Amino acid sequence: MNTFDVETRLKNARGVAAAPRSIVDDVMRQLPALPPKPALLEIFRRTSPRRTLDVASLLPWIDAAAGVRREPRSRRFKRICARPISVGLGASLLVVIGVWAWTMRPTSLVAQAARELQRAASYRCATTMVGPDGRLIDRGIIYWSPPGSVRIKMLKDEQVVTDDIHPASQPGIEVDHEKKSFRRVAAYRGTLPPLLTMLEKLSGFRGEADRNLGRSRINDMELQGFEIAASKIDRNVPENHKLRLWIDTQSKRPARIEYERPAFAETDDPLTVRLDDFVWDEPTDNWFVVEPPAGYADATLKPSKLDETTKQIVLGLRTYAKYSDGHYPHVKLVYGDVTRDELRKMAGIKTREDMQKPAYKECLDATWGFAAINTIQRENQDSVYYGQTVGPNDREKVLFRWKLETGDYQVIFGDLHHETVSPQHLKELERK
Amino acid sequence: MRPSSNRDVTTSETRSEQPDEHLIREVLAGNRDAYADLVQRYERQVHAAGWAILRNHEAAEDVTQEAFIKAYGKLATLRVHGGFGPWLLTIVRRIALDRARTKNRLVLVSALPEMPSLDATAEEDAALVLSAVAKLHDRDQQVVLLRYFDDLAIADIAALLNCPVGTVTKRLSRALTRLRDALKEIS
Repeated sequence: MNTFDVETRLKNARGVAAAPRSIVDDVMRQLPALPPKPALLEIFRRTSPRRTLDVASLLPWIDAAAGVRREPRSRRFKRICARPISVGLGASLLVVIGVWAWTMRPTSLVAQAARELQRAASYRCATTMVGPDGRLIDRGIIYWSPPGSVRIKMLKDEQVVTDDIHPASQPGIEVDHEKKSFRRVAAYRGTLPPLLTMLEKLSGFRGEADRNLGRSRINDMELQGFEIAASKIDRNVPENHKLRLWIDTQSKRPARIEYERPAFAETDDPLTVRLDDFVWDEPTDNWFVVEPPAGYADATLKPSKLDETTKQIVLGLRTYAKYSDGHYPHVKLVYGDVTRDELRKMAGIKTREDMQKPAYKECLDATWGFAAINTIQRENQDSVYYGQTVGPNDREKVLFRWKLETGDYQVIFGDLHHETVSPQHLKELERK
Repeated sequence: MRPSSNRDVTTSETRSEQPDEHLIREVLAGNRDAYADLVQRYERQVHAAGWAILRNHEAAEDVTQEAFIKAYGKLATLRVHGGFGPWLLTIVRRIALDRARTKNRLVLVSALPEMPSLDATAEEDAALVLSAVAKLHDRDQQVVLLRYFDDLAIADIAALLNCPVGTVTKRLSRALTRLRDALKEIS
């Protein structure tokens, strides 16, 4: 039983539930350029040949624009019903509704596909990574089942070479069939790998596509294509990454998903990851078994020492701040490759010649730190990165923290000094 | 580089002092920037309402953004402009409940509580208190959230809601009594 006074409890609740950052800019960026859409009746008013009809009082939108005071709803309704509505008006309204329904159609198909992705009991699909000029880089098969179980098989000459199995919230296994070895890996308790995070977020996406790619026919399926800026779905990826979604117009399920990461410099190649050949709602009984094949050697990695990991992270963030003019990655989830690309760009590594510069070596060293943050965020649900609000001058503020096996927390502060602290002390630090 | 927010959620210095009605009229008349003041005014309350249901800051932030965007699209349908705050809270709760229902099926990895073991009691209590706040009348709820989540003085709340100071004091006192009773009942 809680004996605190209600005011204290409200203040405490604020401490726990308060937003960690302002979202004003994010919201304003996503708002449509136009003012809020007036209701259909306003469109009707504009197109009506009987412009004298007082439908202004129907709409708060018009109230606001014209300062009209409304009369009581019941009287207004009776008055409007009493007036004759011409056939022309009705026809205009139907046309407007028709146009409106037609323009809304592509958005609703994306939303339906997202919902289907959300409802799926399981799916299996082929994955293909394609480089410049359509050059095949890798092929594999992805298996997914709620709540977040994932298996990825990579293929070479139609043979499975690696098989990574991650049952939801449980330790996984990564089998290397070429080396005939396996390693046990920690459960994904934080976030999923980037592409799967994207799919997971796509399932909750209710926004609009940026571009309608038209219709196409693949494997006897009539598909409708859409392109969406990947940052609209996952705010942690750059704005020039694209997601293309091809939806089966019959089942409303995604039939092909393409994630395109453009080259950020001459030294880099663009990459497109394609998912297709989806098979939905198969039984998953044998998909996520974490037993190694008989006779395979155990190559499980020893966990890296805390000091070493902290040192890598500090180096990565220090290098990033050096080249970014004094800030850390402005994201919540630090993706190793995305952050590496940003850093290289900021450090001026654009051509093959630039790879001879000392800055290139700095970027390489820093990448280990970003990968370490990503691994911690993936495996440790008690990790939080505050790079969006904490900078190098914030000596007292927590920049990144994660929970250790001892129950204490490892904390890296804004100025990159670090400490191991108790949960109580962390709470005090995070109030700052 | 991605644009970043330079605003600090903990300050209210940049907050417009115009009442909601005025800001909404400006937005509807085409001044899109006036909406930023509304977002800044209500983001903490909306986030808290989302958090109370989802218990995760990232998920709460997502639903907060979604609620503001949805509210913007439907702003013309809001009949009583002074009721923007309660209306927004209804929207965010609906979205968050929808998301929570989905979460039960998917158990999104990214939506797991951020620090369940850090201070479970404080978290539990915060959720309890916020759920009791959600059950108050719209107007009472708004006053409580403005007072305790936005740290606004009574006079500022009165100016925002376009009502006398005495009305705010009365509402706040009534709301706290109801909250106290509700929480006592739960305990």
